[in-house]
Amino acid sequence: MIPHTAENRFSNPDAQHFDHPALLYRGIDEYLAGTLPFIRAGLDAGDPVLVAVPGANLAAIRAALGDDASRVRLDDMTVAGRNPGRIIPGVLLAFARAHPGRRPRIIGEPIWPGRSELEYPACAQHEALINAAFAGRNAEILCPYDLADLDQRAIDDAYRTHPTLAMGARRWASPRYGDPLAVAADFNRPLPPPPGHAPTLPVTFDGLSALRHAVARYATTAGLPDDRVEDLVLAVGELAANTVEHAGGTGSVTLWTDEEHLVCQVSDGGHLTDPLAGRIPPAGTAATGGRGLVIVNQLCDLVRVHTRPGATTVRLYLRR
Amino acid sequence: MRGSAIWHGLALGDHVCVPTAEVSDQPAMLHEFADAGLREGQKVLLATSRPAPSALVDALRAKLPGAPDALAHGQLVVSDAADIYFPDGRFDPERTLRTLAAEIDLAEREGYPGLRISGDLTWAAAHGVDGRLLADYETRANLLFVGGRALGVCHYDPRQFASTAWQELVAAHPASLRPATQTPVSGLRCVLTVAPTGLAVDGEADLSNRAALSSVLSAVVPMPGRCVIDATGLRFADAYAMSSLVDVAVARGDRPTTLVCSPRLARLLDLLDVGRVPALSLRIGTAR
Repeated sequence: MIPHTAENRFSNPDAQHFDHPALLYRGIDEYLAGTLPFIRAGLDAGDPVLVAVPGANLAAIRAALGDDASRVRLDDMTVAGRNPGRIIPGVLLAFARAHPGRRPRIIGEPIWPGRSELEYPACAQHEALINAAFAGRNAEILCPYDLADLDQRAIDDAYRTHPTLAMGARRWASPRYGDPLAVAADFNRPLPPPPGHAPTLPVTFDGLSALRHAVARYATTAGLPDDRVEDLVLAVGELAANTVEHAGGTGSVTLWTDEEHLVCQVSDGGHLTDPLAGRIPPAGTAATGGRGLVIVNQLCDLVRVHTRPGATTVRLYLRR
Repeated sequence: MRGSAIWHGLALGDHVCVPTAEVSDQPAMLHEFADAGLREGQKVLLATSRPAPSALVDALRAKLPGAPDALAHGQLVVSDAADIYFPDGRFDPERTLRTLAAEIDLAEREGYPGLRISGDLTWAAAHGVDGRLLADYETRANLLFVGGRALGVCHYDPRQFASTAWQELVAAHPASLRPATQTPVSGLRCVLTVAPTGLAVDGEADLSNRAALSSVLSAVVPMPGRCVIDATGLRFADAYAMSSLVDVAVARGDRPTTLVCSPRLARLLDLLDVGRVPALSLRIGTAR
């Protein structure tokens, strides 16, 4: 790939393809130097622009945009994208679908220094799967990576999950960009076992209601607020129904708490073969099974999955 | 005797699948069922295969104080299941639905507030009727009950069906009882409303009553003018059920539909990206 010049690197009105560069930056000045021209080029071209980044960076962009801030959708990624699994359906595709026939330009920063070890594999999977979810779509998603404060591992992974890299005025093709599904599969790793004392409940067709009520009782006792109890119950209900319908009919639910979360694990004998399951909401309103995993991603603060032929474990985390 | 709380808790409009693996349990269940109906002034129709009608009549006379009178006056009717389900030896769902509709009309003409039907379908396997045909029959039977002029419980022997077929059969009923304990599983109560015109849906909607919800919602589709679906009594709805509610509005085309629901359901419809349909207006309401 020929490096673009500063003049044309963010504005290509004829572009009808998907672009997904990682913006490598050090400090707020480089951050603004890398993001503002992208935003302004989008506004100049009349493209819809979304900025979904952590709060402090969002505030800096808002201030730098001045009056133009009102022409840009600004979302705090630590809220909208708390669960990396919901960024594609709830943030990126939602914005693209709200602007049919246009070329959305999005700044999405899903990986920030505060992301935990627990969250990180789901974040990296998300970055890889953006390439699969947006393949063939007309859009551009720029992902800032903080060179100063992120682990080297996160930067290395950004090279694998982004076909293009950007730094200052320079753009170049990533020498280590990998097949999106293969990279996502690298993060499909066994989860540590639940604590030994964690109660386990059976998943059965005629026990779905009893299961939901038992999960609600556990979550209430664990101190989750009522609306979050209901969110958990809906998420577990969707996973349990999937177990009954698609994974041999039975499975188990295990519940425990860690310092930050209520954790609920649903295990069964199925194999989740579609890596984009739960990330692409079905179009239209027709009742289908395709919305179940999407709503699970929407409702939970983190969803971790390990799946292989004959065994799938989905772990839901809700902050206490 | 088991399950009295369940039978007394039934209301007109209910349609319940009852797994009846032990046929010997049936007489006790039927006494309770009939007793609850007679106390509410309803007409009671017991279609039975095992026990045989004559044996059931004898048992009812012996154990249920009001039975002799009710049998004499026609408030309590015991029929041979064969007469309702396979009068010529063949199960024809259409014919059975017509027969039951006629019984409901008759009970109304006789001045009863409603008809309480117990259907014995434990003969299904013996007559070579497969689960899919029965599931289709039960799905359509919902339209008999959703009007609120009758309630029905259907006794099936789960051992006669493969597990997928059994699940389809259960899901064709808005509510079902759990085999082991005869306590309610998730259940829906769906009744058409007159003022405003529409449907009230109460309870829990999930995989175990998916086909039933779709069938009662289909009753709303042809209704003229504005129609109101009151979902404030819906304590749980999975993603499929939630989008089914919106589908009704889409299927009604130009005729407007109002969905009355909790703020939570409205928020979830938005999250599912199905809440914004031109023909659908959402109104926030609290549980009745």
